[in-house]
This record gives sequence, C-alpha cells and structure tokens, in this order.
Amino acid sequence: MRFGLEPVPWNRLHAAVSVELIDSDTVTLSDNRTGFAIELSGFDRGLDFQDIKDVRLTETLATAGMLDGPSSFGELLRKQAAFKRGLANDDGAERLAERLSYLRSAVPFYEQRSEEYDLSRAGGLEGLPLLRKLELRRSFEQFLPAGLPLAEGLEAGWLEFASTSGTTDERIAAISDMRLSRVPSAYRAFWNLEDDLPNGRTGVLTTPVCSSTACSVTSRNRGDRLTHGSVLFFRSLPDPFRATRDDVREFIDELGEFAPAVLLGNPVYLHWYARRAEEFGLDVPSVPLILSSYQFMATVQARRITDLYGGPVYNTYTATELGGCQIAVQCAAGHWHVRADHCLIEFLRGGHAAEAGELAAIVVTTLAGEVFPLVRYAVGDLGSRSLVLIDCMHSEWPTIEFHGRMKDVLKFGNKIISTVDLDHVVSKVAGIEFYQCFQIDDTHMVIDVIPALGFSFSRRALASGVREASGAEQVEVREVQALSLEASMKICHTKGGPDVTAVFLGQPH
Amino acid sequence: MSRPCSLDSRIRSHFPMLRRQIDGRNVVYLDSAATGLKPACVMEAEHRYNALYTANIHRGRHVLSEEASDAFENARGAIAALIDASPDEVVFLSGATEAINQVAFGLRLDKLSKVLLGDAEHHSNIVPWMHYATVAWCQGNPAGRLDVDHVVRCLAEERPRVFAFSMVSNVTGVVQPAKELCRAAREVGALSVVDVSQAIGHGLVKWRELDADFMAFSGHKMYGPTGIGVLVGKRELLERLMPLRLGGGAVEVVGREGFTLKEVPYRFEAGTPHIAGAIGLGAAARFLSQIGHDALLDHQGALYRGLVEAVREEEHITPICVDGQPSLAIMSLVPSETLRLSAHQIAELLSTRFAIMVRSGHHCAQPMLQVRGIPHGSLRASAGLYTTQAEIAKFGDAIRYTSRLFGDHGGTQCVTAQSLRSRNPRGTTEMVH
Repeated sequence: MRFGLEPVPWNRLHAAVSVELIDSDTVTLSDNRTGFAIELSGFDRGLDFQDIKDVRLTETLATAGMLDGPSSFGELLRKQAAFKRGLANDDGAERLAERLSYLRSAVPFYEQRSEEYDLSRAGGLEGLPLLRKLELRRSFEQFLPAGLPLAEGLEAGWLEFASTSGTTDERIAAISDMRLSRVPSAYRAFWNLEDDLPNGRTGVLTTPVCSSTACSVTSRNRGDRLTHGSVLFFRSLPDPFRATRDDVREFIDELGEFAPAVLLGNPVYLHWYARRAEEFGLDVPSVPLILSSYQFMATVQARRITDLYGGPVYNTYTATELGGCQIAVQCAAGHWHVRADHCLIEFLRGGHAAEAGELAAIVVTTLAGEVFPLVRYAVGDLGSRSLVLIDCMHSEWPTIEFHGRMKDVLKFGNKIISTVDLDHVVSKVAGIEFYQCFQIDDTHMVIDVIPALGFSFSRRALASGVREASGAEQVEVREVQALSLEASMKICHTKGGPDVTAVFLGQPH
Repeated sequence: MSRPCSLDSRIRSHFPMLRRQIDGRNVVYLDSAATGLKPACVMEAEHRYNALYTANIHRGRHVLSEEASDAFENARGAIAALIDASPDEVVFLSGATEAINQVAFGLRLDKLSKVLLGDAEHHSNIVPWMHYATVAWCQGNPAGRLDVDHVVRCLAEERPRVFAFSMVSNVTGVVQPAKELCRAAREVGALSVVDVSQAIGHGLVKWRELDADFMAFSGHKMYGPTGIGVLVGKRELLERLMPLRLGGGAVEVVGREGFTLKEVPYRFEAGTPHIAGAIGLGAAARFLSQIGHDALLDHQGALYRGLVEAVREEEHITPICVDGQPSLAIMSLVPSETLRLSAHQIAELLSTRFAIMVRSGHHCAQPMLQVRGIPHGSLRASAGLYTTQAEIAKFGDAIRYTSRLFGDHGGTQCVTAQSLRSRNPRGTTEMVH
C-alpha cells in the first residue's frame, strides 16, 4: 500500500482539458495548459470522459497528453509536439494535393497549366515548375481566383494592393489577404509573454516605399498615417540616418501616445531611431512586443532593440507577393519555425533538394488564403533545413535557418558567404552597432561600421575574423556616420557579390 | 550626325532607350513631361566633348579650349535659332527653376512687389515668387485655358510688377494663349515671365512672336541633357537684371575695391557651366530644328486626340481636361472612389504588369490639385515625339484593364487578358500582354 498515492484511472480526461460540443457528433478538446486542441468527430453523446471505455480513443488521448496522470510540463509539451508533428506529416501531402486541385480549378494561372501542375503526373512537388518574379509580373490578374470580389475586398480592407520596392527585377505588384493572421496561434506561449497584450494597436516603422500607402507614411499629419483606427505608421524618412532631433522626438512622442501593444518594423530603422533618441536624451517608451520584418535583422540589432524598447523582439519572415501568407517566425528560444499553417517550403541547391544544414534557395508554396496563391515560388532568399526539434508552442512546425537574400551573398573563390554567415562573425566583435559589407572584387571587401555610442571596436579583430570566414584577401574597415540605402530604402548588410542564382536554382536566371 | 526622319515610327531609331525591354516587353515611355528621352545625337555630342576636346571654355588660348568654347557658343546659337532669338538673349543656367529664380532675384523685388500667377502653375513658377515677392492669384478653371479677358481684369485689379505663367500646363497639357497674355501684361506695365518647359520640345515656342519679357525652359524637357536650361530675356531687361550667382566667368575686372560684370549673357553664367550639357542641348536644338515646328506640333495634336479617345469611355478613372481646348499630349487622370486603387498604385501596376511608364502624384502642382479637390494626386501620361498611337492604345488598354479589375461594378470581376480583348470596344488587335 502506498500512502497518499491513489492509483490514477488510465482512462480519465485531465482536469485541465475542456470539452466543447461543436455539433451533434463533433467535440473540441482543449488543453488549457498549453492551448493545444483537437477535434473529435463521430463523438458519442453517451461518452463519459471520466471513464473512457473506447481503447482507441484513450490511446489517442494519451498520445496527445490529455489524459490524467503525472507528467511534467516539459514532458507534456514534448508529447503534444510529437502528436502535432504526426498530424502534420499525415495531412501535409493531403493538404498539398487538395490545394493543387483547388488551384487547377479556380485560379486561372494554374487552370491554364493544369497538366504541368498535376501532382501525380509530375511525380511529386519537386516535379512541378519553379515560379519566378517575372511570371508574377506578367500574369498578375491570373493569380486572382475566379469570382474574387476584388473591389469589394479592397474597399472593406480585407484585401490590400501591395507592391514591392527595389530594383526592376525585384518589383512586383500583388494582392494580400489581410485576414490571414500575421501572428501565430497561441502566440503568448510561443513568445513567452507573461501577460496578454494590453490592446489591439500596432505601430509600424518602415521605409517610405515599403507600404502600399507610400504617400501617407511620409505625411506629417498623424491622421493620414492611422489606418482602421488601430494601425499607426510612424512618419518615415527617405534617409533615416538624416533624422533630426525633431524627427526622432516626433517618433518617440507618437510611440508614447499611441502606446501600441505591438511594434512592427524594419530593424535598422527601429534600432537607429531609438539609438538617436538615446543620444538626444529622450526616453524610449516601452513596447510589450516588437516584431522585426521587411529585412534581415542583425544579431546586434536584436540585442539593442530589446534593450532600447524594453520588450522582446522576434523575427517574422514574409514577402509582399505571398498573398498575406507568412513564411516563418521566430520562437521565444530564437529558432525560426516555418508557418506550416501558411506554407510549405523547400530548399534547393543546384535545382535539387538540399541536405539538412546545406545553404540553399528557399522555395515557397503557399497553402493558406485564396489570393495570389504561389506554388514553388523562388522567393529569392537563402536558408537551410534544420533538424533541431524545439519544445515550444509550435514544435510541430519545422525549424529552419534563415540566411538572407540570395542577391546579397558574397563570394570569394568558391566560397559563398551569406548575410547570416557574416553576421555571426561581426556579432562577436564588441563595440559595433551597425555595419555594411561590400564586396569590391574577387579579393577585396570593405566593411563600413558605426560603432556603439561611447565605444570603440577592434578593426583588427573584425578584419581578421571576416577574412578568415569569407576568404577575402583584403578586408578594409571604415568607420562611418551613416549606411548607404538601397533603391528600396532598406539597408542591406552585405552586397556586391556575383549572381549565384544558378548555383541554387540550377537554371539560367 | 544622321539626319532625323520625319515624325513617323522611324524617328524612334534615334532613341536608344526605346530598345529597352523589361520582362521581354518593350518599354512604353509615357513620362516625357517629366523628362524626355535623349536622341543618340545628343549623347554623341556630350560624349565627343568628354572624349575628344575636354577643356574649360572662354578662358584658354589653347586649341582644345577654343574648340570647347566654339562648341559651347554654337550650342547657344542653335538654341537661339530654334526659338527665333538672338544668341545674346540666351543664358545658360541649370534649368528652368534656376532661370525663374534668377529673374525673381534679379528684379530686386520685395514683399511690396506683387506677382500675379495663374492657379495651375508648377512649383518652380510659384515658390521663387513667394520667396521674393507677394503672390496674387488669377483664379479661373485651373484645368483650362486662362481667359484673356479675365486675366486683363486681374491685371487691372492687382497691378502686379510681374505676371508669370506657364505656356503649357504640365498637368493637363492645355496650351495658354501666351502671346495675348504677354500683351495684356505689357499693357498694364507688368513684366511677363513665361515658363515654356512643356512647350519647348513641341514646336510652340517662337520668342519674337511671343514677345514675352523673360522665358525659361529646361533642356531635358526638349530631349536634351539634364542639368542644363535656358533663360531668354530681352536684352535691355537682362542688362538691368542682377545676377543670382557671382564669380569667375561672370566678371570682367576684379580689383580690391570691386568688380565689373561681363556683357549679357555671360554675366549670368558664373562658374564653370555644364559644358557637355550645353553642347548636348545644342545638338537637341538642331535635332528639333530639322524636324520643324509644324511637324512637332501636329504630332502632339494627333497623340492628344489619341489619348482622349483611349480613355473616353472610362467610368472609374477620368481625365482632368476641358473639351475643345488646344492641348499637347499630356493627360492627367484621377481615379474615382469606385476604383479601389490610388494613382500611385495604378502607376506601379502599369509599370510592373505592362512596362508602361507613367507618373503619379502632384506633379509639382499642389495648388492646382488642391483647388480641384484632388488631394491624393493623379496619374499622368505624357507623350514625346517618339510616342506612337499604338503606345497610346496600349495605355488605353491598360487603363481599361485596371478599371475592369479594380473598379466597383457592383459584382465580382476578374479579367483575364483574353476577356479584355473581347471587351475592347474599339476592336483593336493589339494585345495587352
């Protein structure tokens, strides 16, 4: 006999799991400890969840961690993660097939190429054609499904006209479905937020050409920059490095007054504005949650943004032309997770599936939303498949390493160095706050650096670290006051390398 | 330099930019009011200076300096010949903006001095006057021609020192009765300052006939280089005008006690000018002279009619124009509220989808658009001498495409290129692709 330890029924639902009847034979079981929920169909109203007789059901619920019994929270998360991965694997192929079937019947671009996009004829996803930006430009209206109430959607605001900025070969016009969630489900647990977000307001700081409301984001009139009453675009400048004290004060004052729960922004702009506020002795208001988007966020930027704004900052990865879908999002542990509810991604090297950990081109197939659906779209970025399994809220979503834009790689000899590769090196040198690396020729690189306020940095350490990592023979380091902007007004951290598209996609560009 | 042909499609062979393709499509350039494309002869002229006889002008005794000086003065002569002026009435400056600033400054105006403006002016013909003097507005229909009688009344009422107006609106393309307006100014003792930037490339400008007091234009609007422009002024008025910039090249003698200015026009050309630009501009002037005023003007008229026809039945995007008024081929269109795109978004879409280049925004004419109640700007298509009717038709097709796709028709719309062809009322076979 064990004192105080009663045997726990093996077939009893855990007290933290709530049961909700959806219809006559469907229930949702929601685990309030983790937010994980499953739907059971074929439900028998006579079922007693305190004494489940159906062995198969108890096995399923046990696998999902929903039965009563001793188990740590970590064990529970692992159990449920494995369950979710199993579900994802099972229905991933089915989802893709259903998606393609829908696209071939309802979206003109795929309708007209029905045979090419027949999964069974193609022998699988890898057999389908790659989609490039050129095709999106040339066939804009063909990516809108038949019967889409476009004007109505634009008027109501659930559709938005979007265009990318940048050079001629980067520019695309697209339609975004604003109903798709930019925030993952169970985000509070996913991002380890102690409290609920205080309000539904979002502040946005990005370049003047990053938004389809480009006219308005440069307006001094706050009313012009407020949309739907809940999204405020802070006034953007053509060159953030020329922001005056008044410009920065205006941003700080508006940030404090609007008090958004979420600050979404270009990381360089976010960082620079807050740094200038610090220089000018202006207090930067705290923000509960910061989401970085629009361009790559350097390691030092992530650190400083958290310091300056007082809230955690997480990367989000999307592209204007994805119809509102998100590609990946960073969890509280700092790992990138594919938004498997929005898309499926592949990694290609030489046009074929890359090995895990191998630097490769990211190819996206969107699975959510109906506007601008893309199949095997070469988004123009690099990353690698990761085998890391994380015990987080969305551990069922595959993890990846994001490496930056393909056109931003550097190449010395046979060595390709991505933006992230270089960032790993630069982030190890103390005293650097902003940087830009330019490949000048096959052997020579220049790095422009803005040091941290009141700090100096070791040029020798930086140059030697970069030389070793990149293979560049000559690395020149310059201290500067400002970084140079792209046509898109973004600030890239590496540029000047050769075109490596064929290396990854295996076809002439 | 090869002789330009008459204004048919063969003229396009003189413009290398027209060979540019984007995504396999020929670029359709409908932004000539912003800047004109450059013919090969202009680029060649600039290149020859830079490659074969680079030297500073007017101050050297060596052969290269003399070649450069000759070429520079020949350019001045070519421009004078194009506009029927004397070379000593032609001042090289950086553009129309500097030219107008030069006049506004040089007249020694003050805040008690009144300058009368039409209400459809470009910012470069507003802001300098606001800075140096006090502006009065001659209100009329900003989309339309200035009514001469109305202007006469404004002049009588305001008694300005200066009456400044644009010969052609950069927003609507409407052509003003410039000669009559200059006469009206003269009759009340006001100086006339005419911005002919949108007119100079289209055969409209004849200085003697216009009989204005001052005239300004930018080289790049007449298929010349950027960074160079011209102030034309009656000699006796130029002699009384104070130079805006002083320095070497503008002075005859400089001593410890003072300086004397050079003769007109040189006194306004201090510093080293944009020599290559001026030489290129001279080449542009010769190019236009060989085509002839009448041919240029006729071509613009035909293209304007093409533009009107191209957008005539559009309900969701309407032109700012007044029927029946003389206009060049410049047309601004305003999306209605039933079209769910802004002018900027339409311009982006036309560029990425069709490789059609048009401008969007306020076109440096905010007062005009404010008066018209167009706060978010308009879309503007503007043709040059190389523009064809086929390109105008493509523009019309693209506008129809945009309208059908994004216009609120009270139902669902999703238009493919194929369905657009069958709906085209004019039955053109030109495919929007």
